Amino acid sequence: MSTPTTATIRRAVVAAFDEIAGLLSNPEVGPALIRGDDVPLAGIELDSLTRFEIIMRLEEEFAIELDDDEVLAQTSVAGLVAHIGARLAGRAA
Amino acid sequence: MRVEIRDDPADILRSPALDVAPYGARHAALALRLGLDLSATVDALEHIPLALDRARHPPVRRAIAGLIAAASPDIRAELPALVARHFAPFLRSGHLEAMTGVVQPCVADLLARLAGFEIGLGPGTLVSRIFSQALGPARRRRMEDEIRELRARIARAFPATGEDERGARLALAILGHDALTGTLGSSLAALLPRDAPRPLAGLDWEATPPRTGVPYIDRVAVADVQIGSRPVDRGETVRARLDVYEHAPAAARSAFFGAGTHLCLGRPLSLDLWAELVRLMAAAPTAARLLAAPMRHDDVFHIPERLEVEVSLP
Repeated sequence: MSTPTTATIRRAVVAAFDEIAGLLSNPEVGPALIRGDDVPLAGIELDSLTRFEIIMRLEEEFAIELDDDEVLAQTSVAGLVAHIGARLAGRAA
Repeated sequence: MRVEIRDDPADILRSPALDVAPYGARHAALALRLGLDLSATVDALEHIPLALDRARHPPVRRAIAGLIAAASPDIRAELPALVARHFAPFLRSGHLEAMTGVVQPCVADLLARLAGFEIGLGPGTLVSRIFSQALGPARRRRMEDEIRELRARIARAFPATGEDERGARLALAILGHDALTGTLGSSLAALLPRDAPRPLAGLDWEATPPRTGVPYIDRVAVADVQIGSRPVDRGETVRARLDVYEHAPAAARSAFFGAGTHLCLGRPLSLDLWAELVRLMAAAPTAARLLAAPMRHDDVFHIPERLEVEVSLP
């Protein structure tokens, strides 16, 4: 199985955040995400259970194991996308 | 909000206004929200005193203390042979990965004797990550499966015992695993020289491990309270940093094992195990050098992923 591209991972990350936390309709960050800009994760207020729900969606999407502190360590959506990309690349290597 | 008070963890652990973090409730909420079956995990936490508030923990603690008391005389008698067998690689020259080759098998052996059944947890086990707040859903599902397997092993080994005793044996299999593994591993990492090989017998082996595998314990305020000079509001989490004792004299470091109603029940056996290890190392004919000791990514325990050691004959 080929490793998903950064664009594919980003689409999946944004979709998970949107479906679970309605991110694209959030006026603070939605327009920037639709434009393809990066968004700081600190600007997205999520309770821990919502975050776990997003993590589970991403785990299932990419068949990886992802811990909460790994996600919390990322400062932006692009950082999270890169982290998942690195995990997938590590698995493919 | 979490408050860290670094000066005297014992004040936190002894305070009647602070109680354990609600591990069981957190898992139950997570299971409900994510639609996961974490029932074995939640049930296991019902048998772990560290996860139970003051009202519920005394009978569970008594059950575990009873099992430890019953097993301890035989274990103490076997400790010299157990330590000699598992730490034998330190007595002959060669390259050694001491976590999977020495420390983990030694702890597994000790806990199997304590819990009374073959626990059979591999090096990558998630079972003792039960206190982690960071573990993602996929790993929690794997942990749930491992706990179910442990419960099945206990049921096969003790078909005639009740749920409470089975729960206590499960708690024994889970509780001390990473705490003791981390304490032994990180203490060896602190003591072994990194620059050049030195005779093991000449190292500074003290009566208490110099490092702890449990760097902190969280408590939650059940009432507004003053801890030292810091006011803590009801509902706030307070972190008692046990690793502050790593810089204390050896005699004071038994405080690694906590204080108050949740004082670690494994303290006497852990210290006895360390004493046997010290006896063995202080008479070892070999020299050793630590090549690498990367730490495991872990939000609860301080535990080396690997301990790469070069052992030589001087």
